[in-house]
Amino acid sequence: MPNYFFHLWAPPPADLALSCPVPAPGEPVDPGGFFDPATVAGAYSAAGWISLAAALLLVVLCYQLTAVSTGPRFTKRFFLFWLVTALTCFTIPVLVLRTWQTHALAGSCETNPEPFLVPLPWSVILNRGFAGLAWGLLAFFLLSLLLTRSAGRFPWAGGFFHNRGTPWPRLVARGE
Amino acid sequence: MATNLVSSGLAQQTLTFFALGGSGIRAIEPLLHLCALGLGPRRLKLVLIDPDQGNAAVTRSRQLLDLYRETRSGIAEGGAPDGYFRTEVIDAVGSTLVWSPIAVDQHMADASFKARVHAPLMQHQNTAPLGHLFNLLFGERLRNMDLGLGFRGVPSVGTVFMNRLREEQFMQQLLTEAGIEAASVFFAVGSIFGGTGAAAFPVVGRILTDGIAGEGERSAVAGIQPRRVGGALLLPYFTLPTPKSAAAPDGGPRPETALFAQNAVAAIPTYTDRQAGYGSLYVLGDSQPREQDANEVGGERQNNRAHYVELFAALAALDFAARGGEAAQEELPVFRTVAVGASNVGWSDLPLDDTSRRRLMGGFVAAHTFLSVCRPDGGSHPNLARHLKGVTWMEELGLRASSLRQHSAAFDNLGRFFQRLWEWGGELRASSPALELLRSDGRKPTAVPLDETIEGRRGSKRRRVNQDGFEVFRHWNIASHRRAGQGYRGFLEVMREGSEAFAHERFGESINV
Repeated sequence: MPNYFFHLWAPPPADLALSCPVPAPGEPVDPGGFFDPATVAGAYSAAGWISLAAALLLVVLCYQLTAVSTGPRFTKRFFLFWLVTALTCFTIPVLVLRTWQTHALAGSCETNPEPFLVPLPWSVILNRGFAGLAWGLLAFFLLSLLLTRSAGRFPWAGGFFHNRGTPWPRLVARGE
Repeated sequence: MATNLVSSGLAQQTLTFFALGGSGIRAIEPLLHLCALGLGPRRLKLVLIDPDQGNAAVTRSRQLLDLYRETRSGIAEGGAPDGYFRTEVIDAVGSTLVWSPIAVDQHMADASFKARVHAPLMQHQNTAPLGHLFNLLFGERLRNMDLGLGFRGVPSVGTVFMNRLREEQFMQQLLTEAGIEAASVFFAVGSIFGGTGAAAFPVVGRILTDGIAGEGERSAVAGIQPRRVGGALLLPYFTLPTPKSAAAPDGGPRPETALFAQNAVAAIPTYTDRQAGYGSLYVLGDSQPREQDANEVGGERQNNRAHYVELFAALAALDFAARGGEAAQEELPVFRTVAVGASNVGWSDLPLDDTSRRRLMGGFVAAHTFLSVCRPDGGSHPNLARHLKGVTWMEELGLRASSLRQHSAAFDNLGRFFQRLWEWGGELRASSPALELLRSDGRKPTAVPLDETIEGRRGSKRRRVNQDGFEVFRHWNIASHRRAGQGYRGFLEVMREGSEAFAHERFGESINV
């Protein structure tokens, strides 16, 4: 369940196949091995937590950056930060998954039974990236709602109090 | 002298304000603005005295008074106002608002001075000495002048008629009520260098303190203690440009600048010798009198710009009311003075304490915000409910779009009143010497950034704010948190408290001087 919470439709694959190293001349072709699920899960987990931290940071920045209260200027900023959060949550998993030191499962390749370093394939990375994009959109909205409805009950919460009408009314107002 | 105009004492006080002549009546405008911003007494009874009822100052005061009442009435729908517009303004004279000492003669075809005093009757054998005396005291130009345009800087003419005030029912009523409201105070404002003010000032003081003698069916009414009667004497604070012709259109005299100082000097002993009944006298003037735009004898064309001395006269009245008159042990009359530090008048020159200055400054911020957001430049907002949808202070108050629509007329009036306040501040700013409180400079509120609204702010490290008013709303939000669910009833208080908090944060250097 936490996997779907963090990664939506792109949870860390348990048995992700990889192409084994090319065999020495005369030896049979290796049908393929697998990524070490622990390193893959570690990469996904790191991407998920960093995305969450980034989304939270951006929500706080959006609300606390200036002294304005709910109004047209804040609404613009709200949508800008929403977009930035989505793009950030796309970029973070792409960078993390691409640079994470993922290994082959030891013994899964006959041509190299060692847990050698192998990067995740772009198709998997991009799939997780797009899931991050959608997750970012959702997370920003839900965090805004949660914080304005909880911390926003108290004036000491600063921007969360002064913008507690966001995001609902302005979205509705735009549609009037 | 630093007055506290937000004290609970003033908030419960009744002040009867006598506006004497053009200058006195011009003090009503600042007085109403101060009352609108929550710096006035609980009740303000107005007595305007001027024979020139068509004077632009009278028209202007009447219009503003009507607007004040309409605005207050709209606000009162949500409950009696406690801050802004807390002052109930009462016409003591009646529906006419202005008492004219020559009104009883208005049916006469001839409006000249000699006709009004029935000079032809002084030509008979047994009244001839009186006729000679009349001719001796008043030259031909004075005898023939049309009194419909006022007394034109000739107080001796006004004095002839001013004692009719003793016979007026409303004066008896005021004195009777003064006996019941033992703490209420009376204050008169008038120039002593012109005609009507100089003629009325001592008469009003004497009637208030001597009372009215019984006559025929009229029973006597006792006067009030002099310590409850105050006045602001306006010394020459303006000059008049040279007119195109020496005589007025009717051939009568014009007010002459050259005589202003002479008139004032002649009048002052009346007050220093305690002949006028006043227990407290505020003497106001300017060492560099401003020249008015036009030299008009009276009527609608005598439309002079506002002057800061008129604001100080209003402040004097409120100071007197806030103190509840002079203390019983004081030797009367008490003369009160205030000095202005520079050629122009700024926040630090106002004879107000920090709390009152903050209230006044907050009022200007509230007016600017209201005129920027709710009623742009005093006009209507095509879609205010949509513009304010989701605004936190509205959510906290429980105000809905339907509430805004329901109170649209009240908002319109408030917008129009604040627009008048804005224009008045602009006039004073453009004047010379200038009253540097509000930096409107003739611009519309939407054209003045909030940061630039208040004059005289010393360097602040805070960054600039934006024009859309939503930064002020941040302070309104906090104020609304304490008034959650109060709806429209709490709106004015939220606006007042929040705007004051903003003023204190942004312009604190000008408040704490």
